[in-house]
Amino acid sequence: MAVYDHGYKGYDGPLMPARSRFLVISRYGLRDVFASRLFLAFFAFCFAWPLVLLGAMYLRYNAEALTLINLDSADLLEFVQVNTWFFQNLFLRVQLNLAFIVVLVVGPSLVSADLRNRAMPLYLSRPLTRTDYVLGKLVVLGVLVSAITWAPGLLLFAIQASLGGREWLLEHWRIAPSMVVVSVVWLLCMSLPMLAIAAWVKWKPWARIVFMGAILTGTAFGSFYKEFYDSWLGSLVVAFDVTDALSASVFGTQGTVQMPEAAAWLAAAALASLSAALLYRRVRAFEVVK
Amino acid sequence: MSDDRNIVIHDVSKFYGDVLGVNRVDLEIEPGITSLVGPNGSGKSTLMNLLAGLLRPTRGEISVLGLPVTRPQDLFRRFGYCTQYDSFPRGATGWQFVFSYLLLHGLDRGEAERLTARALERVGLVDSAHRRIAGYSKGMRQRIKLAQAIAHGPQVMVLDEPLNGLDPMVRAETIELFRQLAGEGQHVLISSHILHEVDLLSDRVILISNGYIVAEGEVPGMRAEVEEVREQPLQVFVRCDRPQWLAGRAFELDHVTEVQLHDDGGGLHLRTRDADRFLRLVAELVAEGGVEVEAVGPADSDLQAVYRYLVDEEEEPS
Repeated sequence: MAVYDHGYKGYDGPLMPARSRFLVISRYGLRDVFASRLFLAFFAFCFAWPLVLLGAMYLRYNAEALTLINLDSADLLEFVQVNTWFFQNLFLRVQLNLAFIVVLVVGPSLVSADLRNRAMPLYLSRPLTRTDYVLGKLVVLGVLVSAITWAPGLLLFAIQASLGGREWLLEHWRIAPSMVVVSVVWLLCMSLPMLAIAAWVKWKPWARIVFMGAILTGTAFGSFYKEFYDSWLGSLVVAFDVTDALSASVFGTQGTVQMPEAAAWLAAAALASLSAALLYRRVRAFEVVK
Repeated sequence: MSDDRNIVIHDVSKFYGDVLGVNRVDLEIEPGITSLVGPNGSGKSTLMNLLAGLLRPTRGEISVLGLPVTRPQDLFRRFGYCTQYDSFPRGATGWQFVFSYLLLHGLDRGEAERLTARALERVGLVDSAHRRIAGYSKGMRQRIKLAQAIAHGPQVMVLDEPLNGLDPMVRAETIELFRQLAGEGQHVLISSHILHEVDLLSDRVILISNGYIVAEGEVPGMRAEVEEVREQPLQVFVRCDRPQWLAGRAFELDHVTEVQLHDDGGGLHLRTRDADRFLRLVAELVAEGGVEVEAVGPADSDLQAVYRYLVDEEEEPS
């Protein structure tokens, strides 16, 4: 059949900007995540502790409410000190533990199914790069983790600032950016390894086991090393030590781990970079077996 | 590499470590239906994935309508790709499958809905659009994959074995769709094992074996163009009233290598290195009244024959 008609014209209407197109992947990812009622219930539960803290903050500044529940305001003022420690340990540490469960549950489902079912050619035969794909998946975890860490944290901070006044705000302003920075760094250091493991293992339950195994092995080895050699070097492979040191560094407090700040930052950067490289290596349209 | 109307593959090789994918491929593919034919592992899918930029060549350059395949943002606005694999999001309906991937092209929801409806109509899946793909037959899955490949109105379509699993009716409709698309000036590049269909629907055929392009061109002319094929004995059939007598005369000729009588006793097949001389002999015998011929012609000038000569023989152990 000879082709005489070259008059074909494809769609030339308006398009969404290429830079924000990866958000389509994020949107569908979030929709799939919230399709699970069990996860939805757990996610709602993640807001319980911030609500408790919000209640405590409110009571602290409301004498009438305290008398209604037979509490002495002096006792509560003593008990609930709303300061850096409150936000760093009482709020953020608890919320990051919950975020860990979110990453563990959601992370593997984001990429392993795509790779196992050979869906990558479908994604990558669109005006989309591998970086866009990874970014789209990462944003899913970013939204979920942010929603239960720094976002409610900033809300609590704003309420406390309005209750505590200008003096409190000037004294504690560093808390707000610190919560954001610690949450984002933690997100990268947990999400990228989780996605990388899921991309290599390709089976969700195994990915979770390998991720937990890596953390527990690192913790066991690091703790043994610390005890045996009496050296902080062991903390480099203990995820919670690194998180603690980073948090102390950002909030400007004294950490519980004897580890140089620079070493903690270096360990976090190395973990995130290595994970990103491993993930990027796996996210291909076709697996090239040599 | 400046041709902005064709697909240009220039000296492209792809190696997977030590394993050859394709080697030294030089092609220029014009609009129309082009079929890529070869046995399993011959490099068809590798070549298609190279064209889609999903694999990077070890060496050489590829451009599609003047666009380098290394820029997916530009390329895939004009390029539709359908893999041979069935891969569908869990629980997705046909509509959602096509619609969601259209959003990745940057279309707004209204436009994506319009194009989804058009694509589903073109592949004949309007009635099943809101059923889950998990419940689709093999043929329906093939068609929904085809729909997502053509939905955004690409100018180049690369379709890896799109006719697999289609029943004859749907296959005919799909081939008709390919013809419509090609008739509008689009490139439709198809890989297939179904040779007789490729023969019927293609404007051009590319034969690939062990990573090498062994022949390319329009099917009728391909046989004559390829020197290697020309040296192979041509199979000729004759339907006549005295096949055994004709077989005896044919064997007197040194260029006839094989004769087979038809089971019904009404004709014969023979292989000859010089078909013209044999046909002259038949004409002389008819003129002399020695035999009455009902029909005569080459039995294997179709694609199947070229494929057999070029690919099958290459694969036989020496």
